[in-house]
Amino acid sequence: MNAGMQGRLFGRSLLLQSAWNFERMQSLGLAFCLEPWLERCWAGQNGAARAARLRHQEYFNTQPYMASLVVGMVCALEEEAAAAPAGARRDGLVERLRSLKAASAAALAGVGDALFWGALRPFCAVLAAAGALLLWDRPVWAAVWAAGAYLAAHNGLALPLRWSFLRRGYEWKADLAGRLKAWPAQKVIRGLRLAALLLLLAAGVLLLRAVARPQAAVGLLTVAAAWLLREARVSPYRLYAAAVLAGGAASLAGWL
Amino acid sequence: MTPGGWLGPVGGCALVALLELDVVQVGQTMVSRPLVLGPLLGLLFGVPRIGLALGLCLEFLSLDDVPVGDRLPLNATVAAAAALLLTCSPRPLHPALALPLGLAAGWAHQRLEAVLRHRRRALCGAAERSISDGGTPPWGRLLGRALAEQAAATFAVLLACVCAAGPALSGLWPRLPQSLLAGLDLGWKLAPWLGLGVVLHALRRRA
Repeated sequence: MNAGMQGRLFGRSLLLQSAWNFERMQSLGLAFCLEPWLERCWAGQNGAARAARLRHQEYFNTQPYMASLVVGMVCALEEEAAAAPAGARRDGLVERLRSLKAASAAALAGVGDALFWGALRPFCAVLAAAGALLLWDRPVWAAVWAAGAYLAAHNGLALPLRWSFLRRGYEWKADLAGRLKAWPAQKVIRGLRLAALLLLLAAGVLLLRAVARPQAAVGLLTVAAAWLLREARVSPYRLYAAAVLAGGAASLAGWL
Repeated sequence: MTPGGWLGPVGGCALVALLELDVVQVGQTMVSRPLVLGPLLGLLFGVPRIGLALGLCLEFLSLDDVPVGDRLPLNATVAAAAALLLTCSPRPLHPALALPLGLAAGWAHQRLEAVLRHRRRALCGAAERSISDGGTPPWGRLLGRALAEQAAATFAVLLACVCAAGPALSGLWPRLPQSLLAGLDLGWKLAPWLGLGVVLHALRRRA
């Protein structure tokens, strides 16, 4: 896979979820992403090319950033199948490709959700929020910081990873699962969450300093109540609705 | 109030309809997150502090609402954008009222998007037919249609919220019962603290 092809696959991988649907989820986006590679691999073999295109119309779903690894792996396995003589050997390789694609998509979804949605995104949000609170008296700078820090921190890590995943998936091929075991994902996840937790505590202190003492006490009570109600799996939006209702009730009772 | 009257908020709706594609369909570079979009729109409309405050509240409230599998969360991007555009339209709303209205827009968008996602299954059939006929699927038309429908739906929800529901409620605001005003005000003041509790819970649980 040369850099030009990697660039084309990367560009198309950004549209992986463009036609996301409940029936086959990312399948159409994946087929679109693989199109230039399939065209190259199966050039001059019309029937086999049609079969290759059709097999990627099947159900597919994984974490969108981790999908680059699956795309790289599928490219390598398609290349292998295309190089094999038509017959039982090629059929076997295609079957292997199908099962590896399904298995790795499921396994990578778990890691990707924990890393990107459960650790990196909260870290970026809290980093942006803490800086913005620090700059609160200069609203233009605070807004510039919030947007800039969020985008830089997130894309500074996620985009290079998505780019390199294509190459790694291609090189690791069927060994993808084994190679990923050596990947320090859990350490990175723990580190990001811990850093986010510390930044959140700093943001909380900044928020406390910005308000008067009685308001700060109410704020801390609200944080504790939100925590406890989240333990009971109450949705954050219902917590907000409950606050509005509580305010209305308190006003009716003459407490506000 | 923006200098161009309704032109600014309508233009804002169109801009957000494009940026909203980043939530799921294009790139996912986080430019659509409330804490990015809120401040950016705030800067664009000359209200950076309101953009920041709304963005921060909605970012924290929505942070633990993860789109895993076929789960479709309330659209926090639409909620933040609608709330901010309501505060700087020619008939501006107080942020305490704009926030729940924005959340309602995010909820309406979530329902509409579920319908669109069901409809998109037809695109798979169209692609399969093209391949079976020996050609390549018309990717530009198929994906373009999916993206255009999504952007149009977002624009429609935002426009209805900003240009219809907003002005209607703006007139009602002074006549609302005192208890409701007090409730909305308390909700607005407590929203950052609620968000803090939500994120603290999510991080502490996982750390």
